[in-house]
Amino acid sequence: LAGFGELMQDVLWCFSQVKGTVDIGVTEADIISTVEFNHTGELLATGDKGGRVVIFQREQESKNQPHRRGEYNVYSTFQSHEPEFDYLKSLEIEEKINKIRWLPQQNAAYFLLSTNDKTVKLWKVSERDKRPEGYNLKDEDGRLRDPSMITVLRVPVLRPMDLMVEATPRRVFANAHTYHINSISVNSDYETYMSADDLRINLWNFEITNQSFNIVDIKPANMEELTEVITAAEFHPHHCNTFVYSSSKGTIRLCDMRTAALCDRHAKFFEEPEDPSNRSFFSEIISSISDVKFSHSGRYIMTRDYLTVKVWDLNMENRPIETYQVHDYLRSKLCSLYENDCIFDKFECVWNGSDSVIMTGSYNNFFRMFDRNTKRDVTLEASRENSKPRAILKPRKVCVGGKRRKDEISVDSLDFSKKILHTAWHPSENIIAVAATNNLYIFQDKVN
Amino acid sequence: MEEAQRLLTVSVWKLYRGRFQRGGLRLHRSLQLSLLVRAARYRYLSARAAAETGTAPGPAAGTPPGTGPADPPFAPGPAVGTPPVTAPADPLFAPGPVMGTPPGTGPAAPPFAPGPAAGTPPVTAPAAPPFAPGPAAGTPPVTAPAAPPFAPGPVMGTPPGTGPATRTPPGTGPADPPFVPGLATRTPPVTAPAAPPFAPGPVMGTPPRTAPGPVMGTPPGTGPADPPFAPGPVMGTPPGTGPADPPFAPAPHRGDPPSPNRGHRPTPDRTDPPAPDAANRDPPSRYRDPPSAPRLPPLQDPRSAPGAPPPARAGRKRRSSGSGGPGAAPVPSKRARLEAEEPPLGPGPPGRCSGPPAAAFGLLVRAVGAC
Repeated sequence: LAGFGELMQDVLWCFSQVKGTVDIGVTEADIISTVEFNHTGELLATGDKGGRVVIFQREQESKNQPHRRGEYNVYSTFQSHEPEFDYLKSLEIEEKINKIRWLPQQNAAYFLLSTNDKTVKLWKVSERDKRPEGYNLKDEDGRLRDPSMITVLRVPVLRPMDLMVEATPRRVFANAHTYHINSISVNSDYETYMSADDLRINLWNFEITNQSFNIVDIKPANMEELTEVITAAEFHPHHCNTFVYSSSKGTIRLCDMRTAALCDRHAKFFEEPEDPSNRSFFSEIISSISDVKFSHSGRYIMTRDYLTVKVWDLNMENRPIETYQVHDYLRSKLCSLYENDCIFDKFECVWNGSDSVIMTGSYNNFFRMFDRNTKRDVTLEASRENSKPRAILKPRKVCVGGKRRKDEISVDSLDFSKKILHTAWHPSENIIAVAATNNLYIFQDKVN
Repeated sequence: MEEAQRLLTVSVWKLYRGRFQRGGLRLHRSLQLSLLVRAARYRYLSARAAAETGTAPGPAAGTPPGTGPADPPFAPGPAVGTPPVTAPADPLFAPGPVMGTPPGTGPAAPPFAPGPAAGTPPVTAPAAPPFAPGPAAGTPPVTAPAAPPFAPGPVMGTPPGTGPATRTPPGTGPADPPFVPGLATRTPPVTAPAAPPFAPGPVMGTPPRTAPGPVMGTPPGTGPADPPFAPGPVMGTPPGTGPADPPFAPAPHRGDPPSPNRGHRPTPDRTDPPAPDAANRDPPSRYRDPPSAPRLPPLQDPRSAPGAPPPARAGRKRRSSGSGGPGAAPVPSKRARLEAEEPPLGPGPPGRCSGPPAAAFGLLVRAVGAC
């Protein structure tokens, strides 16, 4: 496809669409909490803090406008999770959607997993464009007919109707997590998936909802000895026995389920020695890994902590092979960021389809891309001001000190309330989805 | 030291606010806050001890003693006598005036004061104050619960054997430990600290005004590992030091039932001074001269009074003031005790910090250090 696999310097990103309202006051329920393309890129799902899932579908490309790729329009919207209350612990369970993961399509319907802090649900999204008519025992309104009044039998027929997309919960996986679920990952066997909370990882079968296998448990016997928690987990894209999970200490553990039923002992342990010169009060916090992703090839792991993105080779555990500074100018602002809670933000990271470019978010609605081959990087902004159709995004630059140029922005001028935590990259094309608070921006490369 | 003080205040407030947010306390967030609280507290106490003794902190000042497998959360700070390293100009977090009172001024140091200089043996905890409300009639002593530092609210975690999560039958794999921390690559060589920073100093306040329990802070090497965030001072006498625990149910009485007057506490004589109203918020109503405060009449053994109501069952939940059970002496509330120890100071400059007034910092340090 045009634009796919090109180097960063040849790709010009253009604005495509923006979804969401432009209100000054942002309703917290509308804040997007997760974004995910499906395996073909045809569908784009978003989850928000209000527990809703909105699925966008890509339209067919128009022959009249060949320079425009198919746009994403709303395909289905449904309420996935509702707020609940744990009466035993007197705790409210948020309805916020933490993660969405698509299952590969095996028939006409689409399946996805969505999770909040405690419950995972399997949703079936299907289309209905026909309806049966001509029932014998009930009329067209659905009311039952008196059997004694039926004198003639007829065969019901299917007649076309307006397309209706319906989402139905097929499975509910509940009551298996004591702590807050932070990750779900579908296994490559497409029969199992795992859900990870702060201290445990459970393995589920899609067909069994009342039982799960605990495969990782790092809860100490004495909670006062707790030193780290699980922050993210993911299955290997090809090996159904392998998965990784990251910790709040900046470590990654790769586990093999063939070794033991309980994978508390890791097969590989990835950790980079800390630089003593950068030690501070906040070292522990900023070293916490917020996201971990396997590359599509399965050979590399990408991790995101507060200031950097690192790429690890599965064959080398002692240090990452690549480290990219996302916003190192914030290192001197950690105290302020701690006070306003920004230091606890959990940024995600994504690979492009060819594993040659990685992308992650930052503040002031900036997001960054790093080309692994050319080592070039670019900072772009998701803003309504650049929302003209096919408008080319101008690279942005943050001025650390000294004289500020006209098109640069000072560190002190960054808006820390505008942050891009969730991004997604089309599996095969240069189309990206960027969630900026309650707006979803879709950018694509300029078709030459 | 100022930075540590500020961070400690902010961190404790974040921990406190975290309990009221939707979804409850986040384990990850509270863990991070607790680690930072521990580091900031240790840094603050070390700096204060160094400032008071006029000596530089030891080479292992960056390693809080009593730390388990956790790595030391920060590097040793600058030695005393060197100009403090100021952070770069940060308009979002201007240093501002010093919070609290400079050392050596203001009210007396809190009871959790660092001990003497390095090399001296630690000061052992003084004996329990004479005026300890202790267990009231019929109530067993309240022992300190094993407060988890990251869950001051409802207990998190399911008891073993519950929940739908199951594991494969035992014996199919090696006996893995529940959690292996792995290589502590960030842990520098741990050496014994020159001065135990948690050696308690002189007990502040008059004996009846002190907490009705052990002195805050335990001698080094005793007690459990210091949790970074304890819910507060212990109420009640330590186990084994108070009167014998009354049984839950009185012993069966054989024979004729006692007369209605037997077993009741004698009504106080008019000549007896009234019992101190320590829970009264009005300072003049509270006793200012504790040594002359009268002792409470001795409590009778409920076993000798079968007609008396059974003592309340001891549990993890501490009773708030005013609910000490029938016939119990009024237990001063935590707020009343804290207010009685130090007069509150004015708040800091506006916009300086979103946390509590600077005057409460000392209280926070003690609250965090109490175990």
